[in-house]
Amino acid sequence: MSDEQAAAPATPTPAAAPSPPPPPAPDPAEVAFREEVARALGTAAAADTAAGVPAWRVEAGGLLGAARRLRDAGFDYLLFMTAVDHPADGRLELVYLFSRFSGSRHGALLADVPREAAEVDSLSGVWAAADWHERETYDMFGIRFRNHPFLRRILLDEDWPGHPLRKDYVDTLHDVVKRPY
Amino acid sequence: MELTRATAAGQPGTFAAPGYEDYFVNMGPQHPSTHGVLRLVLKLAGETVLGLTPVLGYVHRGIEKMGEAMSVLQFTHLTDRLDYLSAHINNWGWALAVEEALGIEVPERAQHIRVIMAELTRLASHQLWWGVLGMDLGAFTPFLYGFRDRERIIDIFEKTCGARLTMNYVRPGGVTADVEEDFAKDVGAFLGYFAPFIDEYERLLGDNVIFQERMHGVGVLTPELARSLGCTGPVLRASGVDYDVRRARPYGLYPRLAFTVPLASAGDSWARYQVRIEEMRQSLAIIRQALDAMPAGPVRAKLPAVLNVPKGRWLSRVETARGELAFLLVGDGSAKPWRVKVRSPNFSNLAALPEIIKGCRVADVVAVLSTLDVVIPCIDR
Repeated sequence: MSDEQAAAPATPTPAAAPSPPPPPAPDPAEVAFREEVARALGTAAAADTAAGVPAWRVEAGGLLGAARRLRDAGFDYLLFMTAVDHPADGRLELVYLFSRFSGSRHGALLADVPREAAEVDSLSGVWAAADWHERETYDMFGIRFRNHPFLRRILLDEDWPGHPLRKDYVDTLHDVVKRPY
Repeated sequence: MELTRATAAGQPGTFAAPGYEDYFVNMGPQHPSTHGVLRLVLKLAGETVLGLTPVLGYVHRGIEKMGEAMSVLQFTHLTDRLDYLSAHINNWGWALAVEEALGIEVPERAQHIRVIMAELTRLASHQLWWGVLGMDLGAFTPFLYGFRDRERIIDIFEKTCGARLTMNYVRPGGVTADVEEDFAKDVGAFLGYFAPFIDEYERLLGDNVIFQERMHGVGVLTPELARSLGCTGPVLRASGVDYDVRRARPYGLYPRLAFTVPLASAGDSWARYQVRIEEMRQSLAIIRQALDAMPAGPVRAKLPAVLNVPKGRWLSRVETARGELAFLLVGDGSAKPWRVKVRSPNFSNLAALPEIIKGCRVADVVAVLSTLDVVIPCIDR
């Protein structure tokens, strides 16, 4: 290698590929939103590190109190609530997506319940929107909601066997997961 | 029978109808005015509705479960089948979720095409709603007028993406293919054609005294209840809550477009009617701006061969013709989503019906349901 070549700007080799640009500085509005929610939730909630939607995790027993604190802090809009099945960990993760009608930011309130004996307090007294969404979650995941005004299946028949959105659910009649192609 | 509509509106839930025995009537699932297979169990005293219980799920297809078994691109076509009158907007909502998860930038031309298609969809949906509302109340002519004008939009869709109902056109990274050469001409011609017909719509139906009598003060939704139930779209805005996703959380081209969000305060059927009529005018203005500024260029971003959804949760929120549609995409690093959740605007809007219908007459159930403008496949998913 001659001196001239060494002096020229080094062409990037695969090993020395340009490093990805540093992550952009956090949006101040985003930071303010996170601080506001953390303040409202207090010490009972831990910020979740997963990418995407800002999320806070609480104990299942503290869900009702956390929801009340959020609503009292002005989060009057529950977009929906649902669950995510994690059979490897033996847990169902409840997800409550909250926002406000006067703002743009949203966050998720998370809580874990065991897959067997999945039971948690209903939030239908905090946000009326939770009523039907909890019925759907009961229908699809088999999570029981204590003190729900009308906890019955909402989309499937009353005598439907099992809860379809659990990962171990097998529908032998019309299996939408296994396809012939 | 002491019960009148005036007393009923003031005291929800406290009805006495001496001399009448309560009885239950099934409205639907096969009833033309439920706009799909929705069953409403009415508890009646004579003609007066004491209570109402919606029974859902007649067209439940397990779309969320299917989403766990296919790639994110394949899932796009299933979003057409949610609210089939907002197909382009549903596609867009799903595309936004995927684009956010994978950090995909959408070309400028595709952004313009998306917003034009979305607003044309909103127009077509409101045209159909207006026509069907007339038919629900016993006027057949609006139905024909609405479909006559809607056909023009559907023709543009057909020319662009080959489909008239289930579009599958807006996709992660842009749109499937560029528009036809005379797209701008067609859309421009439609804008000129349709603008005067909105006034005609108002004269034909809105100025009719029978129609007004059926709309005013019927099915009043208070802003408090609407907020608590998570109602969105024209249903919420007719109750005086200034919330539109295009404004509150702008996506795509909307931050750069000038438009107003129509509001009404009464919360009754008439308010919902007026909000939708005004929304049609705003949609025309939005399309005009997007059309005039449409640049040339690519319509699809370069995508990797396999779209692996990274670990995490992503949420996209869009304003369909009926309210806020949200997709929650939970990824685990593989090509298939771990979980797909569809937040249907109709699901939350319909939840208001049992409350606001108390004390109305049976015929009002049809009118109120029609002004809530629900699409059942979106509720059942």
